[in-house]
Parts: sequence; C-alpha cells; structure tokens
Amino acid sequence: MNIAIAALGFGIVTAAILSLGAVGFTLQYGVTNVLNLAIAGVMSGAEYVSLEINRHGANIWLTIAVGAVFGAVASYALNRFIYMPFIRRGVRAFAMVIISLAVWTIIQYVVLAIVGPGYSSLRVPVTHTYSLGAIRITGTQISVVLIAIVALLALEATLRFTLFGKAIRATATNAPLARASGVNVGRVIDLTWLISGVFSGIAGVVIAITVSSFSYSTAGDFLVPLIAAAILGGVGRPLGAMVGALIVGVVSEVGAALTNPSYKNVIAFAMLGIVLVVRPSGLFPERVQRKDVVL
Amino acid sequence: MNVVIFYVTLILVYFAVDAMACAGLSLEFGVTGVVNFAYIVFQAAGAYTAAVLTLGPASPSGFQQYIGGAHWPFPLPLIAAAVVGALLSLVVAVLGVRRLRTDYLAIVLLVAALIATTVATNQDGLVGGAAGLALVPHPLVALFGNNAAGLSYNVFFAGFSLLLCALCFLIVHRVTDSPFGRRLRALRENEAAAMAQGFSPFRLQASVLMMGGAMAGLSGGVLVEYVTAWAPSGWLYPETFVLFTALIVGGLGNNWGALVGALVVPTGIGEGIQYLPHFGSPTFTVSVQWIVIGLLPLLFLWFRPQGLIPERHRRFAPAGEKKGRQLVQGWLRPRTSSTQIGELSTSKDARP
Amino acid sequence: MKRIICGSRPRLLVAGGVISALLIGQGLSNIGVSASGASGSSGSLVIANIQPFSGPDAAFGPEQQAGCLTAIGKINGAGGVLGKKLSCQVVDTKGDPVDAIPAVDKAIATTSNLVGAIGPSSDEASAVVPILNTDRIPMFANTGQKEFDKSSYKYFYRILAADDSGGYAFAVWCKQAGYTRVAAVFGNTVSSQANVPTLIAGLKHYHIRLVVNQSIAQDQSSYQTEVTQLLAAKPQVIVSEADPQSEATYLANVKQLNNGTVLPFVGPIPASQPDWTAAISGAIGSADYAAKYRSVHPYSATSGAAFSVYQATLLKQSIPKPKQWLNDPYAQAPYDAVTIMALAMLDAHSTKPSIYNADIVKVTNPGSGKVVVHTFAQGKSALAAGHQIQYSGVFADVVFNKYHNSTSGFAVTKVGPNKTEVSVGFVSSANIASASSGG
Repeated sequence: MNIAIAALGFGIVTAAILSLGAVGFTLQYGVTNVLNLAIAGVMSGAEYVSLEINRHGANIWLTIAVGAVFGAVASYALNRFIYMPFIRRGVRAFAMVIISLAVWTIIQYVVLAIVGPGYSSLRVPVTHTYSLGAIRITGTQISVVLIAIVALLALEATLRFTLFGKAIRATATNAPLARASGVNVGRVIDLTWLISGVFSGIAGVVIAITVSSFSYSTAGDFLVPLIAAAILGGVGRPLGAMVGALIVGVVSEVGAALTNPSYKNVIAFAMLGIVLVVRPSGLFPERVQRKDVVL
Repeated sequence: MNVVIFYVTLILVYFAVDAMACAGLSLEFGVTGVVNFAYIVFQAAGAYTAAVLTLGPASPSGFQQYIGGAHWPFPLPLIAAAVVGALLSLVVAVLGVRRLRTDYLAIVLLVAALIATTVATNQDGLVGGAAGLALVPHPLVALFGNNAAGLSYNVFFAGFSLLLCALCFLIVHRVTDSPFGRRLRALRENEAAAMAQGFSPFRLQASVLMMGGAMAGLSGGVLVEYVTAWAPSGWLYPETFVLFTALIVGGLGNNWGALVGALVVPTGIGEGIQYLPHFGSPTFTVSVQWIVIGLLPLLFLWFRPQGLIPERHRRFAPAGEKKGRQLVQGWLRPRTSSTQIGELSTSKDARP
Repeated sequence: MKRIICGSRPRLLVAGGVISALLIGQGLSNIGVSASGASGSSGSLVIANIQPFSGPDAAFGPEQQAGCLTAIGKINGAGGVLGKKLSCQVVDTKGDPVDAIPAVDKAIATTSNLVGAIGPSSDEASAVVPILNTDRIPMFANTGQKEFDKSSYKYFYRILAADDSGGYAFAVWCKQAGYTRVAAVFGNTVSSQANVPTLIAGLKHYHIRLVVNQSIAQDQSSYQTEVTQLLAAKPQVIVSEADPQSEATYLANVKQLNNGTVLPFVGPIPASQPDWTAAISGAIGSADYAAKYRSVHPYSATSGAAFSVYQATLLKQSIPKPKQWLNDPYAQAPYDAVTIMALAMLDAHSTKPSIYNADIVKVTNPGSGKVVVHTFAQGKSALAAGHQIQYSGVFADVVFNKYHNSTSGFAVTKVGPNKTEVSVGFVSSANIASASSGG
C-alpha cells in the first residue's frame, strides 16, 4: 500500500511537468482551433537553446527563463509564418493537423541533423530529498511543482480577472461575435500563441531537467501524454488540462506500481480512449453547445 | 539481364503494396475526409494475420511465439488479412468515428497506434514480440521448383501483386463513380447538407473505413508473403504520415492521384536520398529523408493543393451542352476563402 | 534500444534504394556519387556489412564498419587475398526485417564477388541468417539471440557472446564481487530482455537473491515508482540494460531517492562508450559514474601483438574519430572476423565461399603443431610456408564449437581518466559454463 501512496506523490510531480505543456497546448488550441502537434518541436528547441545557455554558466532559473522566451518567440513565429498563412488561404481545420504534424517532423529531424543522436544534460544544482510519509521528493521536484502551480494560477487569474483574459475567452467562444464587439481578435491570437509558447518552453526545460539526459526525440516522447491530458480535461480549459495531467500522471505511476511497468503509458492512453468514447468532449464538457471550444 | 528483371519485380511488388495502401487511404481520407492516423496498424494487422495463418502453429520450443498459427492454403491467409483489416476498421468506426470530432479522432487513432505497437512489442507470445515473425513461407512456391529467389517466381509474384493492386483500384473507382461515391463527397464537403438529404454519415463512413481497412490489411498480407518477415519496427506510426504525404502530393480524392503519389513519394524520394553523399553523422541521411517528407505536404498544400493529378469536378450538364469538367482546387483548401483569422472552419468537425 | 516516438525512417522508401542498387549492379555506379554508401570497387572481393545504418540502432553500422575497414586496410596492405583486394560494402537493414530482406537480396543478386558478411544484428537476424545460409555466404553475426546458440546454419559464425551468456556473466560477476542481493532492471526490448532468464538462472546457481526484477517502459519522465520499489527491496547492486536516456533517468531517480547515493550498477555497455558515458555521467555525475558503473562485456585484448596492429591500422583509417572504436568489442569483432575469412581463403586456396567456409574453423581453433599468428600478414607467410595456423586476434582465442559459437570470456571494466576502459575483473568462459550447468 505504501508504494501506491508513494506513486501518488510521484504522479503529482509527473502531472506538474505534463500540465505545463498541456496548458500551453489547450489554451492555444481552444482559441485558434489549430491542433498544434509541433508544440513538441518548440519544447525540443527550448531544451537545446537552454542547454547552450546553461553550458555558458547560466544558473537554472535563467536557463528556464531563456527556455520560456525561446518558446514564446518560436511559437509566435510558427503561427505567424506557417499556420496563419495557411489559415488565410482557407485550409480546413483537420488539414491543419497534417500541416502541424509535418512541421513537427521537420523540426525534430532538423534538430537531429544539428545536434546528432547523442545525449546531453543540463547542469542542475543537487538538492535535498524530503520525506513526507511514504512520499519522497527532491528540492528540484518541489520547485517544478511550484513553477507549474504558480504559472497556472497566474494564467487562470489573467483569464478571469483582466480585460485581456475576457478577450481571450470571448475569442475562444465565438470569434466573429468577439470581433463585432470590438475585440482585436488578431492581437488576442498573437498573444495566445506567445503565452502558449512560454508554457511550452518552460515545459521543455523542465522535462530536460527531470529526465536528466535528453536527446532530440525526448520532447516527442511527451507529446502524446501531454495531448492526452489536454483532451481529457476538455480542450480550451487550462484548469481542465491540469486535472487531465493529474489523472494521466497519477494513473501512469500508480499503474506502474500495481502492474507491469512496461505498460505505464498504455494504461493512461487507454483511459483517454475510454473516456473519449464515453464522453466525447472530455471529462468536463462545454457549457455552451454552439461551438466546440469554451474556456 | 536477370538482375534487371529481378529488381524490376522487387520494385513492382513494393509499388503494388504502397499503391494498395494508398488506394484504401485515399478512400478514407481523400474521398471521405476521415483522418485515420492509425492506418499503418491495419496494414500491420493484415500482415500478422497472413503470417500466422501461413506459418502454422507455433512450436512451444521454437524461437518465435505467437497465437493463432495455422496452415491455411493460399490464398486464404490473404483473404483473412483483408477481413481482419475490415473488422478492425468496423471497431474503429463504431467506437470512434460515430462519436468523436475529427481532430479528436485523429488523436485517438494516433494513441491507438502507439498502444498497438507497445502491446505487440511487449507481449512476446502474441505476435513474436519485438523480434516479430520471420520465415513465413512464400505462397505457391512449390509450383516454381521451391525456388523463391528464382526469376520466374519473382515475375509471378510481381504480376500477382499488381493484379491485386489493380483490383483494389477497380473497386475504388467503382465506389467513387457510383451514387454512393457522390454521397461520400457530399458528406466530405458539407456534412449538414448531406444529412439533410437523408444520408447516414455513420453508415457511409463505416463502409468506407471497412473498405480502406481491407485494402490496408491486404497490402500487409501481400508484403509479408513477399518479404517473409514482419516486426513492430516495420509499422511505427510515422509510416502513416508517409502515406498521407503520398496522397497530398499525388492529389486527393482521385485514384490516379493515389497511384501517382504512391509512385512519387516512396519511390521518388527514396531514390533521391540514395544519391546523397554520406557525410557527417550516420543519422544525417535519415534526417534529410524525414525533412523532405515533412516539407512536401507543406509545399504542395501551399503551391499546388490539388496535387499532381487534380480531382475532377463532377458536374451534371444540361442536355445538349458538353459535359462540364472542371478542376477542383483541392478540397483541403476550398477555392472560395472567406475564412477569417480565428475562425478556422470547424463546421465539419462540430458533431454533437 | 528501440524507441517508439522517435520513429526512425520510412520503411516505404525501400524501393528507391533498389533502383540505385540496380545501377551499381550494372556497373553504372561511377557517376560520381557513392550510392548506398558502397565502397566496393569492381574486381575486389566484397564483404557485406549487414547492419542498421539508419533507424534507432543506426549506431551499429558505423561501429562494425570501422572494424571491417581496419581489417581490409591491413589485408590489402599485405597484398590482398590470392591477388585480389577486399572491400566492405554497406548493406543498410534499417534495423527492421522488412527492409533488411530486400536489401540483402539485392546485395546477393547484384554482387557477384560477395564472399562474406559482417552481421546481421539482432534487429534482423531471424529473417536474414536463413537467406545468407541458403546462398552460402559465411556470416559473422553480431546478434546475441539465443536461437543461434544451437543452430544448424553451416555458414553462421559468432565471435561475440550470445545475450544469454551475458546473463550468466552478470551472475558470475555478482558472485565474484560478493553481492548477495541483486536487482534486475531491463528495458522492454528484445536484446535487453534476452539477458534476464539466464541472469536469473545464474544467480540461482550461486544462491544469490534476486530481490527485484523489473521490466521498464523506456523514455519516461521519471521512474520514481519503480525506483521506490527497487529501494524497498534493498539490493546491493543493480544489473541493468536500457537505452541511455532511460538508464540515465532511472539512475538519477535512484540517486535522488537514496539520499544522494547511487547504488553500484552493472551493464553490458563498455564503460567508455561515448553516448552511454555522456548520458549517464550527465545524470549522476562523472565521479559516481566512474565509481559505481561496472561494464561486463565480451573480453578483447587491450594490449599485445594483435591489439597493437589493430590500434595502429584503426587510427590510420579515414573515418570520423577512429579512436572511439579502440576498445569497442563491436568494432574489434568484425576486424577479427574479416581477418579470419581472409585467412580461411588462403588456407583453402579459394575465394569461393562454399569452399573456404570449411577452413574457417581450421584457421581459428587450436590444434597440435599449429602456428599461432596474430595478424593477417603473419598468417599469410605461415600458410605460404606450409604450416597450419591458429589465428589469435584481438579477441584472443576464438574457438568455435560445433554450432560455430565461440564463447569468449567477459571483461569487467570501469571508466578511467580520459574516458579510457580500465579493467577491474574477468569472467572466463569456464566460469560461464559452470554458472550455466544446472541450477
């Protein structure tokens, strides 16, 4: 039983990592309807840019900050120079899935061509391990969980209490209506991509820290769990994505504790499949039926 | 000279397999608009089915363990491969297509493909685990003096697979040219309007998925009977993306496009890559391959969304007028663009 | 070492390679490009290097190619075999039987002077070995699969120990090091899992407790649950094989959850292997890596006549960073293999595979009155003088049993200063025989 409780704790750490990426993914998907598989490319790029900074002596906080900035810039550029032109030409929503898959493929293999197939590690200060009953957690992991919580609360507060947050929610719910009501939809979308990029960048660096040694394909390994978390929580809902990430993280870890660890992800993925078949709009369905996406 | 014929036959078999798969995917994606990101799994299922039904029961002390082994006579394993592909597709149709919006379905199928690979790799006794299945006997090789490497057998096999490929395209052609095909296109272009006409989207899509799945299964069966081995590393999910690229390059929604795409993308790119000098890390060539495969759909959707062979716009002309035939601009990118920023069309995707 | 997400290469691209192969086959290859990476020139005897050069196991190919090129460098430098030069031809299997079979068929059909093969690897061996055997091409495989321990393939040879003897070797080392509580942690891939049954049998033989046996999914964000279970079982040592990233994450978790102390761990990867060293020492620190990691891998010489010739020739090869292959058994094995094949040809006075195949065992296995030679040149002159020879190369004594398996011993090493391989022990083939003798 102890192991199941410990696994619960580890699941929370895994969830914190996943939730950063999942929130970036879900916010942007909700507002723009672009299913951006290339988010893994942004994460991967952030890993290697921050590695470069880290090698030149930057401390871990600066490294994360650089990852976040890179993520924002890359994400914005992705939209500005690839997705938006295609959208302007009137490409259908699910053709965008193929476009983003193509973009991700390109980024992943450009990274491979540049950095080669080897492994790299970020220099992270060694931290103390704290015990909380059966749960053991390191200082680094506590920081990761805190980063995730702070970032999510900040985002949630922005969405709820600021004018800009209202504009985002309005655009996600009904873009033409938002435009008619005087919302500068173009700017809202640009900002959404920037925010989503910040989250993806942080997620990339945090993943690089937690796996200890990463390669060109590491970020891609997290793409499907991350999307699973986002979709479980209902697209366009940052808090939902967080709950989704908790479910995926905890189910994976507890599943590994109670069954064969080689099926770690399979259990979480199978859950996504079952949930979607039973409740096609995720665990937290929309309040408004008019469109697919609500914040 | 024998060497030339040997290679021509080898290429023809691979081309026939790719083209069969493209024909099925063209039905699913090109004609009906279902984004089946697990397509390669249906090919794999067909391959495993044909393999175990040819191999015979696994011997308990043998190096490969699998379930369902039997010695079925040719061509029953191939038929079984197609049937398994179709039945699996029916499962997907019932569980997924009916309920999920298109982009969710794409993700769920992607996840399903990952689960399938993980299970096939880890369950050693299921389909041979990570090492897969090997030493699948060649079909009908007894008629050719048991010489599977011989010229006559290879010519026979190439002819046979091309025949099956032609059969698939004939079926696809009959389907797309029938009233049923018109319904499919109607569904693709405007689901609400199609439903208003009284068509059941589910029945249409389920039938198409089953046909596509059967072709995928058949292509896998033919491939495994030719190469005699099959393993999880041969059907990782990015393979599906190669087929999608082939369709986009060839031209969506028409059979010639699928055929040309199968010829251009797998064969054409593979050919080009081989001439790259080897330098730098050993992974350089493979990177270039994938970068090219990623760039092709982007370039084609931007510059030539209709693909190399555009889909013909079908239109009924009044009597006396010449039957009008007009090019469609590629349905992934509708000709009349009224889409504004932030209003990426989801009309097709919205499903209660 | 397979991954799912990183994909690899499109299998569907196989047909393309075939067309270019056609051109080579027809002698049109001199159009200024190195199609398929073939470096064979017409008239030379071709050794096919049948390995993954792309895909997840793309590292195998260059590693074996380094050894092959070194051997032919030495052989051609000594005047070649029966007046002919040797060359190494790349046959890329992409790590997948479905790609491997057409590639091998192509190589056999288009290369009239194909006289031998290096490979195949575990990825494609089940499918490729029967083909080569039918076509009578002697092959020196680097697969570890157990199915070839007692196979009837006349043309199959294996210098590198089978995976299952690797399992016994781990057990012997655990015994020698005095461990009484052992944990097994293996990735869920073919080659990793192959070690497990014999490790268990070997530990049982020595009455060592296997306190936990984990099969782990690769490339996870953390293995904390698995590590907690591991630590709860209180092992003294972890025996493990997984891909570098998973191993790194796992060990980093061990360090975190065990109050900053890494448990000793044992694996099959040479301690100075570049990717492995970078990943693991990046995760737990170089000091812990040097102190705690012990590699148990097939033994090969690190000094002596054969080794110094190998070293000198290797470093002269025009390949990227030749030094990285110096102590790598997977580069040394093909060096010995190609040398053995060349000597067998001399012994048989024929380059025809079906004829010289019988001489392979003759030039390796010990016998009374045989002259021990350490290089191709020595063997050539001894044979010319009418002696029988026993080749003792980098792998020291290669003694093939009736299944053409040579169970060499295992070296136990750790990483030393400047990323060198430092020997800390030895597991002899007699040790392994005793560990495997019932349980």
